[in-house]
Amino acid sequence: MKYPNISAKDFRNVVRKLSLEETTAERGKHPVYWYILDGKKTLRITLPNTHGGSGALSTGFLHQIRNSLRLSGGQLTDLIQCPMSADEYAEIVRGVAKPKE
Amino acid sequence: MIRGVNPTQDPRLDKTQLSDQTWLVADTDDDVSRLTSRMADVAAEVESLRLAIEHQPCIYPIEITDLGSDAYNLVRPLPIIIEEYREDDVVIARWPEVEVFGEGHNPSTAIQELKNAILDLYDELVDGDLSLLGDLPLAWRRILCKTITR
Repeated sequence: MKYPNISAKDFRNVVRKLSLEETTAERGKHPVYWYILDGKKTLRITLPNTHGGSGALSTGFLHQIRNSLRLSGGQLTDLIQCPMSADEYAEIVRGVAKPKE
Repeated sequence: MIRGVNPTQDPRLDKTQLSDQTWLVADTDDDVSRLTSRMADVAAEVESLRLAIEHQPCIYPIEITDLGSDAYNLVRPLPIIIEEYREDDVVIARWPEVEVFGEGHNPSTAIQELKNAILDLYDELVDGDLSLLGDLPLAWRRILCKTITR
């Protein structure tokens, strides 16, 4: 699928909105965050390094972010562009973030 | 449409025969017109399929046998997935079972980034506080402990 032009800076808002907690990961070139739900580390999300410039992110990278956030393409756009609230996102995650039996 | 001399104006030709030939040519012209239109439709569909295929990554599985660090060992070869996005000149290497990936401009750099991401995840989950982990990270931790030794 094709995404609209999304840059690394667009995710700053997502980090704030979802209160993502940065992990101790230090070997990779991109920061990694935990999404905390009900006090538990629930999802682990690698986001682009904001020092990497304002260019559009690759489809492959965006696809990985979208999968780790458990969102569809349209929902990812909503999360970035603000229509989706933190509570709405929490409801989505509650419904899908379980290991397969 | 009939091309050339209008056959109905040529006195050397039989009128009845002319009439049949006129219909024949007119039908053929209609067929050509329909085929030309259909070919244009097919060309447009082929172009749209070509673009769709171009945007699809080339995906294939490989195995890695080492994590790029003397301090960590893989218990078994690790099956990973490589995704090559030609339009962006980007390669993603990922281990779907624990949701880690590495990105690079070629498979080699993407795999190295993946190895770094695996080691970061291992250290964090194995050394961290278990009571803070949700169901999914706990499942990842179990898999990592069965796959990697330190």
